[in-house]
Amino acid sequence: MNSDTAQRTIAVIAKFKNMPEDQVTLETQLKDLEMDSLDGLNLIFELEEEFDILIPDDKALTMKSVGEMVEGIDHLRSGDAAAAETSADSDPAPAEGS
Amino acid sequence: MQPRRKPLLTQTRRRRKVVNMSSRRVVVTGIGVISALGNNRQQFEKAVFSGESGIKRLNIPEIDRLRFKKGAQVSNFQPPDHFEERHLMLLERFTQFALIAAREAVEDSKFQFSNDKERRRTSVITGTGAGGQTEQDQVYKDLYKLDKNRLHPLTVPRVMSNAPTSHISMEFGITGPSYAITTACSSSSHAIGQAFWAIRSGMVDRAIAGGSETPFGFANLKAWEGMRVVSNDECRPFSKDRTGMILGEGGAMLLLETEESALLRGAEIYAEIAGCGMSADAFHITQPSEIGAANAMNDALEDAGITPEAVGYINAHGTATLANDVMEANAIRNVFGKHTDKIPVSSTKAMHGHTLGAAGAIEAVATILALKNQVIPANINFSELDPDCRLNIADKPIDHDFEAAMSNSFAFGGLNGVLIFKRRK
Repeated sequence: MNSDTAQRTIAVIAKFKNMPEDQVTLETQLKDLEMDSLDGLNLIFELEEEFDILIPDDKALTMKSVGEMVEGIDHLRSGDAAAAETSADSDPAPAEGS
Repeated sequence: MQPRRKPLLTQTRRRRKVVNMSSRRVVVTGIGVISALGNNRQQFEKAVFSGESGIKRLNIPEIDRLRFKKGAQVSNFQPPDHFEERHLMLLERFTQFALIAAREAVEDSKFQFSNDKERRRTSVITGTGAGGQTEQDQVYKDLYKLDKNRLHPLTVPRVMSNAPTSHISMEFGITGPSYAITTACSSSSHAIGQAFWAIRSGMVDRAIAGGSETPFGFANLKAWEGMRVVSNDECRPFSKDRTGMILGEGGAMLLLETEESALLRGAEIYAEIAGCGMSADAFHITQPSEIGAANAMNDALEDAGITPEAVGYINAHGTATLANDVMEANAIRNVFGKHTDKIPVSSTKAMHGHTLGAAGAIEAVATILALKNQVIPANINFSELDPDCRLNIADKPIDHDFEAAMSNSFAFGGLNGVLIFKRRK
């Protein structure tokens, strides 16, 4: 796991949740951060902006912990062309209603 | 201090006739519709009952920059075939759709405005979710991409959400209470419901009501992409393998009038509009609430004066998002109890896409035609029932003997509108 990715991901989450960075670890579960689906969308947007990546819809809504997030972002940052291609065409996982 | 001017209209205002509300029934005598399923009612009817899909690869220049590639666009449509150039200059695409549908509805009803009193006793009520999005997109390009420093002088009146209302009123000289409603995906259900109540209450005698939407501006599509609710597969309402909604454009209008007026002039009646229910979830800006949806359905039944058992078809909101379909199935079961298993349900969005502010009106048309033809339109692209959506899904068109039908609309922001139509024999 890339420590730069981990550190920056934790920083983004801590800022997003307005909490000290030392309270966010790789083991932190997203459900424990008390985020609803809209918070999730917003956080994904912040992470995409931070790393200039495109997080595919199907991945975005299945990540459960900060560690899984870091791992997924690492994968996207590794410049895997296939992954990037997939991300542009992936099937979305619908979250909201109307 | 200036002397207060006497309002001009008080001189001409007369005492209104007291109308017995319960005696006024409201009927549909004209239908107009333009959508991915065809550019008039006849084409729509043929497509919707044969299970055709209007969803295709999006025809927009920026498609490579979008994660979803499909949409339900109006095709074979040339604006100059419908409008003179001078007139067209004033009309954004969503107003063009509204006007085309309104013209068809009025022509279909064979009603002719013959005097000022009739025009004064008519309403125009239209719905749209986001107004003129096609033009809005061009404005962004001009300003930010092409670095232009001047926009078309008619941009404001073209993109405003009430432009369709005003252009319909001008086209027919309608001078009664007229306005636009914007409640996202419930907009045109609310518009039709308000028009129905206005006629039933005696405020007016007839109305042109419906809605229109043109969501295919690139910026708007990018905004939808960010919501992560749009599918790149097909639209599969209530199906276990559903992956979200598909956006659509179009417009639909109904000519509503009192039963008395329709009978007096020997008009063909499609159906009676018998009830409307509205509610607010007061819950969440995007997540729907089962309670709010059930409240609107119960209110519509009460307004129509019928029991749940009288309903023989539900045209569901059925967006094919994970959240809507489970919520809607639970709400229907909450309202209809054991009768739920007997009611065929379909979402025609799988064919004409989610037309947002036009959805309520386009789906009202599908519902009215279902009642008239006694055929349930299919919920196409359905492979396997989601166990969390315990409904009787009509995955093929079916002949069905039924007397009343319900059309559901539930909007982002938790604003719900439900319409009930009754069969006319």
